[in-house]
Amino acid sequence: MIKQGKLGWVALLLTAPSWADVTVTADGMISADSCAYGRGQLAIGAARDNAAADIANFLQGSNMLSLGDNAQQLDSYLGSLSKQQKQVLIAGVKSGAMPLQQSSPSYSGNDTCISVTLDPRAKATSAEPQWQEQDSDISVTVDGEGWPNQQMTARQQAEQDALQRAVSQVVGVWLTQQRTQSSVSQLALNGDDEQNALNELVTQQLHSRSRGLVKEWHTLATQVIEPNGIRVTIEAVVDKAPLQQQIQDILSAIGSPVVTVQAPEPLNAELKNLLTSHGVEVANHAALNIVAEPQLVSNGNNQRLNLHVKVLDSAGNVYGSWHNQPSLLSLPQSSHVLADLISVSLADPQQKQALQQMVTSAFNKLVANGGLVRKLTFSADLLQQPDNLGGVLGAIGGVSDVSIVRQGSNFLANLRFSGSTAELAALLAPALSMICGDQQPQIDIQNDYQVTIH
Amino acid sequence: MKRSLTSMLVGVVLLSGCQSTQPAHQTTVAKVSNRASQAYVAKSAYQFEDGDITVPAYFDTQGLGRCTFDANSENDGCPLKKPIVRIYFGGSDIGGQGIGIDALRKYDDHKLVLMLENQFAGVNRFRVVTRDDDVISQEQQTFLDQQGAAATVQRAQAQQTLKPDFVLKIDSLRTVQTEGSISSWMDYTLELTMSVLNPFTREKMSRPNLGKVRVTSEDVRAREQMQFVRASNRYVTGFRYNDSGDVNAVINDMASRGFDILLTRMLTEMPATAQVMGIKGNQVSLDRGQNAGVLPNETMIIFQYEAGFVEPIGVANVVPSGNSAIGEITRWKDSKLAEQVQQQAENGIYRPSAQAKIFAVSVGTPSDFLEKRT
Repeated sequence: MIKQGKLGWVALLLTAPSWADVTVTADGMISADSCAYGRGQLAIGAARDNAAADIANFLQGSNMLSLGDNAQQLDSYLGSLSKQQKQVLIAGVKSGAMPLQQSSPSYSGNDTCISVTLDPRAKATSAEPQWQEQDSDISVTVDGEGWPNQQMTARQQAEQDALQRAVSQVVGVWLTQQRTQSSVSQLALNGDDEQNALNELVTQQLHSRSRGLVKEWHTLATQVIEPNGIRVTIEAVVDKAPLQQQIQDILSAIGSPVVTVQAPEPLNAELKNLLTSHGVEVANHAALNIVAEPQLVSNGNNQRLNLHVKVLDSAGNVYGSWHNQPSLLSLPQSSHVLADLISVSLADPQQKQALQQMVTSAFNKLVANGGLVRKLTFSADLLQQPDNLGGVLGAIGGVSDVSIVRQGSNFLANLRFSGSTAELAALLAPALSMICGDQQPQIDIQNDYQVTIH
Repeated sequence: MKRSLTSMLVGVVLLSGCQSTQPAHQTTVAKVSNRASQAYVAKSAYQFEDGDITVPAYFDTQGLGRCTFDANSENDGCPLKKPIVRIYFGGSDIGGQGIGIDALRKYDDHKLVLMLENQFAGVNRFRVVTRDDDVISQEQQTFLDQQGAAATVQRAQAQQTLKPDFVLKIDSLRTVQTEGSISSWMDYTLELTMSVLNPFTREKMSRPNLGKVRVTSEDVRAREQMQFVRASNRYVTGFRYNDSGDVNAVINDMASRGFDILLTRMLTEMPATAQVMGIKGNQVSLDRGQNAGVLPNETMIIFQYEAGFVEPIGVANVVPSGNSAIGEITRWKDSKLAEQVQQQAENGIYRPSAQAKIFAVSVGTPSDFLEKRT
């Protein structure tokens, strides 16, 4: 960024005079002293900002006329900086990207004073690529590695790898942006691990479409990996619009299942409002339940709310749970204390976000586990080879975690299926023909998670 | 025979000459006092004599430079860092049988805790987390009613309850005795001790060591007000020793006096310390004020600290502002150093060097504190 050598900088800066409270030290550092009223971090921060502003002004060369004889000397110093160098320094100081050294605070009457020093040779801290809404594409630099196989050369493999990594990185940037602006999205992720998992899932889906998403790319460096591998560094420009659309499609495919809400009023209404406003469909019967248990905890004349919300399926598997922050508020005992405490808990953006994240995370976990649990009830008369029921069900595409128990004259099967119940019913008929003999099974869908076959 | 007797006498004399001299006397017998405690406050700076100008105990100059005065992120190395405490008042159990015991047992100490919180918060040695839950909850309810849930949450999240470092516990022992038979008077005694303890490690801290404060009912009520008459073991007239309201009034006054004494001891045990920025004439400028617990009309000893040695320079009457303080040196110490400093201060502003810094430390409770603040 700043190509001038150290000696050049020192020689250049040594010629610069002291300017008001801004001085240039013998080793080329630009230093400014500033004071602010008060004590503590607030005053220190204000003094630092003043000093940084002084340094920026100094670099900008404002007020030079007031320097009289020094102006010419200073002018030559500032003039010797290229326009770009100056702009980079000024922008760096103003945005806080340039590292500023700060002295210990000293006190002068009611003021707190500090000295701030800028090392012009230091580079501004580099930033990760940002998702700027106004830009139509995003540029990333990535490495890719490859080894030859029967279809492709090592270079082709390395380029393919780099392009996939480029897309993966952009997906990561998009997910990070969504995480920080979760109010505009249905996405809510708990921490980096979950984001990485989702990133992997989405990238896997986009695997075969990498080249189509990369608008243009060029190789920056190539390195041989002995004995026959190759590493390439490429700069890739990824087209945002199609990528964004495809990610959205994949996330929609993961879907927001229908849920029931079990909670006493007024929590029930509050939770339903919250879920529907975030695009989660609420119904009276669903395979997935959101159960909320509020409890008032008394301390003397005052009460706190202990609220526990769980997401669980009909089989009792818990996919996520959330606790409110009981210490947030306590209110005097009254007939409306529960309603007041619930409204405050759910008005808290952090708690609301945590609840929403928990629900979304539970949905993701549900998908990752293989889908919703379905309960299938088979009439024992129907099955000629009941021992093979488990194997037949397990062989259906999208079915996992099959378990079977006999209950009276019926066989009960619990299984996970990644699609809808109707899809499962459609797949059941041909599969069951193998173990039902001549009888034609009749399949009745009771609800979203219960199917009877007789 | 005569010769042997003589030689024995000589031997005894020689042996006695070999015995050691008298043992050193480093201790002396003292009576354990059970008299009522008194409050000690600093003398006004205007009344100091030269011999009075000495550096008081517990001055703490090490690490003052590290202080940031940011209450929520103060450096651990700052000696003025104020621990966050919650205050408890213990000892409502009263043992024994006899006249007036039941009324004494009914004593409610919650109000005393709140009073103590108020007084301790004012002297700025600790940051006090209140136990006045009812008022806090009521105010939060009113805030919720008037400002709505979103504003309440915003406020509650931005300003969470302080986490106490320590518990400040006042232990009390209440006793009562009656004098005389038919015509008698109640004689209540309240003994207070204060401990600072870490509720998680269970360690009771060694400082501040405020000792024990003893208050008797005679300190707050004339004896005739405490007199009563009984006949056939029944109350007839005079002080209503069985009425918890009357007894509470006496005990409250006693506790209030006890707290005042505790407070004065605390201000002596934990003096305010500040660094002298400069001296101009008799005016001394200090780098901290109310933020470091400097009180109005604080009597402070000005001293130089160099290589672990302290040398008093004078005594000043100090008034604080928020972040700094200004004092008037009312008497310079009769010493060469004080003379040098005074001479330089007369001709301009004397600024202490980095090697020989000058500090100010409070002597104890300001002389007018009890009159104006209690």
